[in-house]
Amino acid sequence: MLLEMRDVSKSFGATRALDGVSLAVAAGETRALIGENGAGKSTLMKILSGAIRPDSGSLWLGGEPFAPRGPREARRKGVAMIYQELALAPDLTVEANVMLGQEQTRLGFIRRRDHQRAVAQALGLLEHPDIHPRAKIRDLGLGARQVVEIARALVAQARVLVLDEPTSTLTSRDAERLFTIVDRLRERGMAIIYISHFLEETRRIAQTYTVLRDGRTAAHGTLAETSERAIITAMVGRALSELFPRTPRAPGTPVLELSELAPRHGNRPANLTLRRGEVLGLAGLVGAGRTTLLRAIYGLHPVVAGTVRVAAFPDRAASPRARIAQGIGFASEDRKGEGLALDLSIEDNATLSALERHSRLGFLNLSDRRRAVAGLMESLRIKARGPRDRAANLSGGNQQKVALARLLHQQADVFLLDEPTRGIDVGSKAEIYAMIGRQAAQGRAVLMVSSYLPELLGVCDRIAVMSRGLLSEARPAADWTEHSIMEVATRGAG
Amino acid sequence: MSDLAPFAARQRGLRGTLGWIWTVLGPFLGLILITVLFAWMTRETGSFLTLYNWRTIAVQTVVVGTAALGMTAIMIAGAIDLSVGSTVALVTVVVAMLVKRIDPALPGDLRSAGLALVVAMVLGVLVGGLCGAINGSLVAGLRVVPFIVTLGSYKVYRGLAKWLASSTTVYVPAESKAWWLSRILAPEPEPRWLMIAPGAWALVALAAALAIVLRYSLFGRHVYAVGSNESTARLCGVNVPKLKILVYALAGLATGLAGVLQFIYMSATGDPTTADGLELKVIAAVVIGGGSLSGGEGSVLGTLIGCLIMSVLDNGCVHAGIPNPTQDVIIGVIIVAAVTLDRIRRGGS
Repeated sequence: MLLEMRDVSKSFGATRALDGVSLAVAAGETRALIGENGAGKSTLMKILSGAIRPDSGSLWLGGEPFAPRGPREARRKGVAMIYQELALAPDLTVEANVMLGQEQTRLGFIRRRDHQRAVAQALGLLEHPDIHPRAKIRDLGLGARQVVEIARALVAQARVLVLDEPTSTLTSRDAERLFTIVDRLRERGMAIIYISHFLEETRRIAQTYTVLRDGRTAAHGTLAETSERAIITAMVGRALSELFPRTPRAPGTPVLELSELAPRHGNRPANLTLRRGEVLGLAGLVGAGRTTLLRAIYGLHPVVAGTVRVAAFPDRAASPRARIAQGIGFASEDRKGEGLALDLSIEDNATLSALERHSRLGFLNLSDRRRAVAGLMESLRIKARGPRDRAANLSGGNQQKVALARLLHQQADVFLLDEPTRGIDVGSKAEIYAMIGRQAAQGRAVLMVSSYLPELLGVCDRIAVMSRGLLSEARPAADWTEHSIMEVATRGAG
Repeated sequence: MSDLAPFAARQRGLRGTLGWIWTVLGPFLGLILITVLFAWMTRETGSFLTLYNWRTIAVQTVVVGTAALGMTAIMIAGAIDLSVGSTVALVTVVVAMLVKRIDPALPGDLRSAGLALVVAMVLGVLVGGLCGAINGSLVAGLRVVPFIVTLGSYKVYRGLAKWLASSTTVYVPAESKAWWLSRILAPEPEPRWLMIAPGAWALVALAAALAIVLRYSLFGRHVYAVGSNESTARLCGVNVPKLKILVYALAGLATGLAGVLQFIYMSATGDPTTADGLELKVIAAVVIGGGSLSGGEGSVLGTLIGCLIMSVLDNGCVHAGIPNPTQDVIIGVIIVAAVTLDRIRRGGS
């Protein structure tokens, strides 16, 4: 084994993030590291990269004990990490980025010729001679940027390469090129750890897998011998049917109609009818235009053509203010950047869209507001010390519930949910699914975007798939499978 | 990152419960500390710890304090205003020139009552509001960061003041100064039961009003929301550009009032070079009082204590016989130390 992590444990305060996890990768092997967010994947990888140190357990690299004192040492010993959020300087050139931190110098001056040779060699090996070494990173697409990161790892003579959700922001063509590169590096004897949520993708790229759940190894083995269902069950720790309770509901009158709606960039005109008592899912790859469509409906993104008809209000575009008044609520996919003001209290966050409900002549009745928020916290089971607790103090799941509590507080009729369960624990997911079901049963309508297919199939009544800005017809969820969704989602891509 | 959340949560636990008390208590303890320090340093003469001296400190705090109230609102909204000193200078010039223009045209009894002063001062406040509204409109309309916009208006307003005053001081003739004018900022107030100067009371009243608006009004909550996370505020239907213009305009009114008070403080004089660097003093006061340059934080009470700390430092150094250059160094060190302590107390980030 080129890399071995044995019985690694790590606690933060009272929280046991890792509890005796073992992981081994041989040279020439790609191992998929699978698990929900919060399962301990990132902690494990931070230990490997030297960013944090384990409480107990040992690491072995090439048969020798490996205890990096920091990211620099780990990198020097041949462990390279490529994170979701790429660590490139956008205003520097490809060459400068590849060589950043590993410059070859003479008397403090850069040896340009050596740099050029090293970069050309790495890009050639990655079969991307089309990336010009003098191009600025900001002018490159996401796929090319990732290649630059990998080139950096190659120049650093990495033996172990960790890829953290590398395809989550790529088009399927760029993803396919990435797979080819990863395969080639593996064949050259690298040990690769591939972190991903997409099970089908891991099957394409990896040979072995390790599933983490709640800081423990839940399962490991060879992918070819394991069914997808078994992996999912290991991930969530319970059968899927328990996670998605169905509420009794029937579609009623149309409440949101899109006709020939086209937001500015790339989206083709979309037609969609959402009825009361219905949960409609929007599937598709990241970047297919689902988020843009949702934001255009809500008035956060411009609309160039077509109409949005909300119950009795037909108009092309409106401000969020107007949409809120029409009974539309929106939950952002970017919980920390947009969804919540983290420094503000739960009550401030939950009531911000409809403060006037608690005000008279512009002044708030704070105790009235606190009562309302306390009620919402109870019904959504938000765990916090109280309504005055800062949103930043909450766990991801509870933060998301606060963002959704806002829609309940503003008494929305139509819920636009963008990735409502991304990055939160399974318990919170289950509660959010239950909340969505309750709202639909009460005659409200839900339009949700999700990249997690089991969730869409489990929660939604109908599903439409978006591919490169083109929205498919919405069909009953029972007519779809993960496979058929992915087929439509990747159609025309390539 | 998410794995670290529970640990961080416990770290901040104290702040969640006692947060408000702590943010105000910290600066307050600092104020007491330097007071005790100066009292000890001046124990020979005893001139620092006298009622009269504290009344003087109150008067010396009025201009900075009034301007700092406006800055508090702006900084909570996540913006900044570098044009405060220039606006104050412009207002003193405008008020002085208006008095000179209006007063001679009035009949005798209105002159002695000081009607010209009242009119000029009201217009002076409005000029401040206009300056603020212009800043706000540019910030919202051009989408240029507030630092740059107000760096520009800092020069423009100062230039305007100099141009209006032909680069000299504008004196109001003695016969145009009404009897009540000098009383507004007299350390020994008349009547005695007022305890402190009427101008200082005005500051207290204005502060109370702002505190109530920030805490209990829809507008106040929106100010905090925009400063804390502008995207969230937009998502929740807050009209962010309109709110910014409004905040700047209201803060401008406070700055205008500070200008009027400065005019009175200088015995009814318009000086285009006055209040140079006032904006930095004001920003320092807000920051010492718990405000943050990144918005979403700050309180009126904290700001007032921050202003008092600045005044006590100025005043105490004089009484302790500390030479002027040393004063500057001490004040500079204290600003950085106060904010550093605040960050450490809050647990790093």
